[in-house]
Amino acid sequence: MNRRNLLLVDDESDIRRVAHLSLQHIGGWHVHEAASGAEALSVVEELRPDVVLLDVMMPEMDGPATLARLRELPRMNGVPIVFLTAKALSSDHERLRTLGASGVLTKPFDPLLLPGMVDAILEGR
Amino acid sequence: MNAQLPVQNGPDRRGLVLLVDDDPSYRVLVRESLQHAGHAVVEAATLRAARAALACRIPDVLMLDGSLPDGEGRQLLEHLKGATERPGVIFVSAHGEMVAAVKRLRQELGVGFVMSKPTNLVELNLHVGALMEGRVAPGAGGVSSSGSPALSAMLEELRSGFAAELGGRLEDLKSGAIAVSKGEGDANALEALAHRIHGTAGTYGFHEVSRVAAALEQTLHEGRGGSTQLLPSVERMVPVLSDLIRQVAEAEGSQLRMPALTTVEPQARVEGLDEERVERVLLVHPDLALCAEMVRCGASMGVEVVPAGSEAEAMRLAMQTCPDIAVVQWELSPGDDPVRCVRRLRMLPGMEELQVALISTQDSVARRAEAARSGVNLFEASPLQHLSFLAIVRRLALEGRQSLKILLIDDDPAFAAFAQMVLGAHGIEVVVLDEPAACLEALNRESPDLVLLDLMMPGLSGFDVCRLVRADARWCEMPIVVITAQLTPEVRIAAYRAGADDYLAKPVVSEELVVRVKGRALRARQNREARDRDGLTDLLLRRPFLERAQHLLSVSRRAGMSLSVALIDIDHFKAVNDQHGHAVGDQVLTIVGQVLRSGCRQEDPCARWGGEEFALAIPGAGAAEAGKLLNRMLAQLRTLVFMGEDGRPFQVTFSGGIASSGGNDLDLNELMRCADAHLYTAKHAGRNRICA
Repeated sequence: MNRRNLLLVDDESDIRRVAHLSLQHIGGWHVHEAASGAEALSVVEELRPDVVLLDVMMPEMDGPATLARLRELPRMNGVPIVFLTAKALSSDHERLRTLGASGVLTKPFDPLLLPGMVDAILEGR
Repeated sequence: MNAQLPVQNGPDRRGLVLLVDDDPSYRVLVRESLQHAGHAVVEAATLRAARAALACRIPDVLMLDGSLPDGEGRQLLEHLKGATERPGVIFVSAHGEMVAAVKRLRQELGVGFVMSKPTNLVELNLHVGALMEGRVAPGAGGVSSSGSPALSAMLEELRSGFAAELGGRLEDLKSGAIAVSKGEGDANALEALAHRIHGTAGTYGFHEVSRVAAALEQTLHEGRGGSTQLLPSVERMVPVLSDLIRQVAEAEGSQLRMPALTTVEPQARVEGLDEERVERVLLVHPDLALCAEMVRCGASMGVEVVPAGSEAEAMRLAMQTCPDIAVVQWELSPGDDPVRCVRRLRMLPGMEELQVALISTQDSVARRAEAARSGVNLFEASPLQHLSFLAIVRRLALEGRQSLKILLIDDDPAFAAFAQMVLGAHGIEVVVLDEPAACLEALNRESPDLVLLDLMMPGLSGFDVCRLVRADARWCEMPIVVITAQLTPEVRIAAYRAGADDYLAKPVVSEELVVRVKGRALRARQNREARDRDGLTDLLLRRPFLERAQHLLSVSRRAGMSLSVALIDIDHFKAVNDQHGHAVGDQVLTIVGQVLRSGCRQEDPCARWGGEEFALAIPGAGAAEAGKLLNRMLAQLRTLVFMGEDGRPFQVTFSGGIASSGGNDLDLNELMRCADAHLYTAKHAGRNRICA
């Protein structure tokens, strides 16, 4: 079973740290971090992630803008992108999905359950 | 036979797992997950190595891959067959096993669970826990905490690092809030800070902090346009923040923090806890006098009502009290918006599932549509009154509390464990019956809200079970959902013909299982509740009362306890109707109903027996105790003064007769007759009294 690559994009180092740990240890992912949309775009070609977890609210380039740019890259064709957001309303989630996200995860999350939620989104595709 | 499979993986169910798989990266993943749950893990990559490991020590659980480099996994099971001591077995197969093969594995080779690759680790942990449950006595034979799980330690370290900085962040938040409330600071920057803390604090387990930050974020977000309400609302948050900072400083490991991360417990719902919980209702209504009345009315049925006069107050109180239900009046004070209020309430962390009713004095399609879009659970176009309020709370409590119970008739323990896990996580109790022939007894015993039925079972088939249930008048309305791997139209039609209401295809998608089962069970429960209750007093009708009392009587007899029943009749009720009119008479009936209801426990059946007669069943009480209870109710009624249509005040009393099951073996009908005889005695002795 090959370890799969996951790109985690969030401007908050606290979130990155805890998510990284749980995704790596429970989910079995190779986790790569990016602190901004720009950084994500600069590493994504080389990294070729199997899935991207993308924070919605980030300074400069926010999640939806980053998603739009990622979707322009041929390499990213068919790669699931999952939003991380602190907005819990289902209408917000609907809106995010219409932007082309494969799923939406809510912050705060339980670090122990996060990998399972990512798997559930990927399986449900 | 009622085989209820244990699925909870409690912290003291730890043991030794032998993991046999030739893929090292798969082993790493499984090992870390199992160790994290507190189990010790021994690994083997081949059958040979596995045999050697088994020769040293029999593990509690054997997790075995179906195909290994030097042979088939089942060879090892054959080898174990004759052994006196055998582990619980999880059989892992890369290609999903057919149902028949699974059955053979279970029956002939003693496999507990069959899982597929890729393996869901949460499910794996549940299965391991279930197998341990059957083998390892709590605290005995388990493994010492020698291998302290690395992940847990790392998470804990991150958490304490975060905790150390949290105080400082909250101070920033507070000083920012003070500045903004004076019209000075940068509201956008403060909103961004609140947003960050909302997301991170909760992730690190500081839920209360997250909740407060979310409320502040929301307040600031709505004030963006330069609303005049912003400054005072932010100002009100400052003391809340101070409080929080103090609590964080004081609370090393207090209720603010999540318990230390030890095990994954997807359904840590404790049975019985729900029943003790008092429902808390946030009532958002500008009329404070009416609010006060509803607070009293709620108290009479064991519901805590928190009144809020405005949207801002509602947000503040919601944060403080975490209500289960919110009832919001459409017509609020100027500047407040009911739909926005609902949205904001739901946005508070932990309140996504808040049950909300909107009450409106006007009815229009536009209003209903707007309410529906905002996601409310209920829209009522009528002024708020005692009875409508109680009915709303009961209905939402039912939906929110989800105290639903389903009966699963299936001989496959793997599916039963799966259903219990998935539905249990949504608060639905699953009672498993693996002997279909016993279905009618199980229905009588459990009276579930829905039956989930495997179509393909040995012995009595699912079709026969459907027909059997439908042929019984008591259960002809019971929702039945069948599960089947065969989805041909013929099978579906045959199932519907036999009396099924719906079907689910195997393999079952867990979310679909939840929504189908929950939706149907809830509507069935609502229908039953509505049908079972008297429209005027909202008490039970005679037949459902007798059913519940019958159930309680058998339970009490088995437990060696007594059950008392009482019949109550309002004195001179005909005179009330004649002198004051029927409308006033109805009011008297309603109030007497409330007095009785509030005098007994929530779960004690309380009925309008007919006309001006009422009935009560009080489990656990002897005649003397029941007499005391009824005398208390009577004393309360005597303090109430009614007003006739002509403005003349009058008072009402009742007479009551009690019969108890203690020291006799009378059946329910005989008990009711006996209570009736005592009621007759009370009437003849001059009314306004209780006889036992």
